Amino acid sequence: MAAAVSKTGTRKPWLVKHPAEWRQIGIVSVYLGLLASMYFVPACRNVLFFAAACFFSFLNTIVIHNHLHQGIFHARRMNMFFRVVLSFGSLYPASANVASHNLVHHHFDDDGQPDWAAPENVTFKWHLLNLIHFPNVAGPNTFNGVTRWAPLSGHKEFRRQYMIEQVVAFGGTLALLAWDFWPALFFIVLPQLYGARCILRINLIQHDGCDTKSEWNHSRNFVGRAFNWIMCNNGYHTIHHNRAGLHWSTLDEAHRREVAPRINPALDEPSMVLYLLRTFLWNPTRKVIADVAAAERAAPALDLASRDKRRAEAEATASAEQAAVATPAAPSEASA
Amino acid sequence: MLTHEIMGALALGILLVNGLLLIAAAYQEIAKLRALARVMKPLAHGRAGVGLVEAVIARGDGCRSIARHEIEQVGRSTDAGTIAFSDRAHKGELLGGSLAWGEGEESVSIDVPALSGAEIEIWVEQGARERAAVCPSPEAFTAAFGDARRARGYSRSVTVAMKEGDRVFVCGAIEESGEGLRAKPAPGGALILSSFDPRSFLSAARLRVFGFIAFAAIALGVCVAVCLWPPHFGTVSKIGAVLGIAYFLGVTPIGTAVRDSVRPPSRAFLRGRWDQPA
Repeated sequence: MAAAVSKTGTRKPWLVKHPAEWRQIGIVSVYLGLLASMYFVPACRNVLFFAAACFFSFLNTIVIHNHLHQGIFHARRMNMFFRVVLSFGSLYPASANVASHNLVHHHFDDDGQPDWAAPENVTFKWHLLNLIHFPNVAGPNTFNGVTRWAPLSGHKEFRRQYMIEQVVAFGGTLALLAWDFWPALFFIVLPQLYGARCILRINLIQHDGCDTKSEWNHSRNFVGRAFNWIMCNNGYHTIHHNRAGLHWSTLDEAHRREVAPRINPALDEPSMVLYLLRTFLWNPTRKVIADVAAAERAAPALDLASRDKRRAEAEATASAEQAAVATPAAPSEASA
Repeated sequence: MLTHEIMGALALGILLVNGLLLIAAAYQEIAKLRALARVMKPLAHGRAGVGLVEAVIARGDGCRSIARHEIEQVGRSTDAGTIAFSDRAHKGELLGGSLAWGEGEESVSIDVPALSGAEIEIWVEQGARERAAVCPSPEAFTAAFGDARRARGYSRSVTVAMKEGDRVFVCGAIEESGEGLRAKPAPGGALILSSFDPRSFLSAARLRVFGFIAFAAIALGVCVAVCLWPPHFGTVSKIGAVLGIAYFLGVTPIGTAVRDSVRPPSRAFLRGRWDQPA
């Protein structure tokens, strides 16, 4: 099928807004394939498949994160359908990200309301316990917060979509459990929960010890090339917070251009694996970086909208998206 | 190959570790409550020290108030036509004044300075906060609803003041100052002014947390026992696994609710709602 031509005359990719999105679609396809293989084919119930399924479950939540910031497909209905698919993969409604991540987390506690996934939610002295326990706190905080946010005006379509995602995610999983209980529990539910809990843990990994009041030192970045290829550039977290409208495929270049001159070198980690080993296994206690924001005071100023303005833009985007789903465009306008 | 036995052991291990972490986190709350209880031992009448004093507000320098507890909120409209409030900040402020400790000739005056900040905690009953948050009139609702429908929402402050004549409990450092006494924050701690006996809050809070710990531990034990009921992976074992999933997904929201319920009254959530007047 030929790619569509946009109003400016440039050729747009078929089906997806950006060619790089096929990577995300591929990730989700591989993940669902692994789950199906383990469920239906006993020979696939081995360490390799299981470990891969857990890893891809986490990548599925990365795709949720990216997709909820910017839908993958031209067609809005396809984007909503894809949210449902992603929700099954992680056993939680993907649309929860709209309130919890896009609106609340991206603005930390700027408006006085605490971030539902703030690192301060866990306070064990042995830091590894904080990593394991963090989803137990951030998860209920998130769902309670979404429950309070959902009834607000203008969220009717959100509520509908959220309910559909819950029905498919939990209903689909229950159906699999009913059909063949133990394979479903071990080879569907365990990977689902692994990914869902890991994406919550990422909040701790990416913000613990950072200065969430600063403009450029509020997040920890993981800048390995191979890591970011498979993680769809989710290692570049600072620039993602500051310029949430940027497509994920451009974050590496934007990080080098804007963040690198302004960030404490300790917040630009070359390897997540080494960081995890160093932080949670080799040094058991929690570390704080002194004056983490010093680098940004020395760097030249940059044109960056205030946090209030960025929050208002995020809320406007969320409202506009819900209004667009409620009043779908005519077919000729669907790919605009 | 990952046999049922291996995966079952993995799943049970995850359940156990998670359950134990929840219990450990609940014990952290007990530790915080115990630390508070240690500074709430009643002081001998008229004596300086760190502890708890029951007194009457003799003078309030802030329009006859000695302290106020303030909750900043933002209200947003709902599709049901109500205004739902969320808390933005909780503040406690001492406005200055004096307390009368004891009655009649035995009464000793305690000066209370004007202070604000994290070391000042004003505890008021939840009922008093809710009464202060009630919609005053249909006209007020209409005016607020207009703002509540906008992106910025309807901002308001809910204030509860402690006035002259009110009975209060003071927890902090009572030190000699000139011919009288003065209240200040305990070393490394806070100065708490409470409209009710704070020890009752601590007792109830500890009971709730211990109740959660007991529930979490017993439920965890039941889940594991039923999972391991022979024959392994039989019907009873399957029921145990279902209970285990329910426990894993259900106990964390319960734990969060208990944690929120034992927040000190100075930071307890108010939230609330204004319904459209009839």
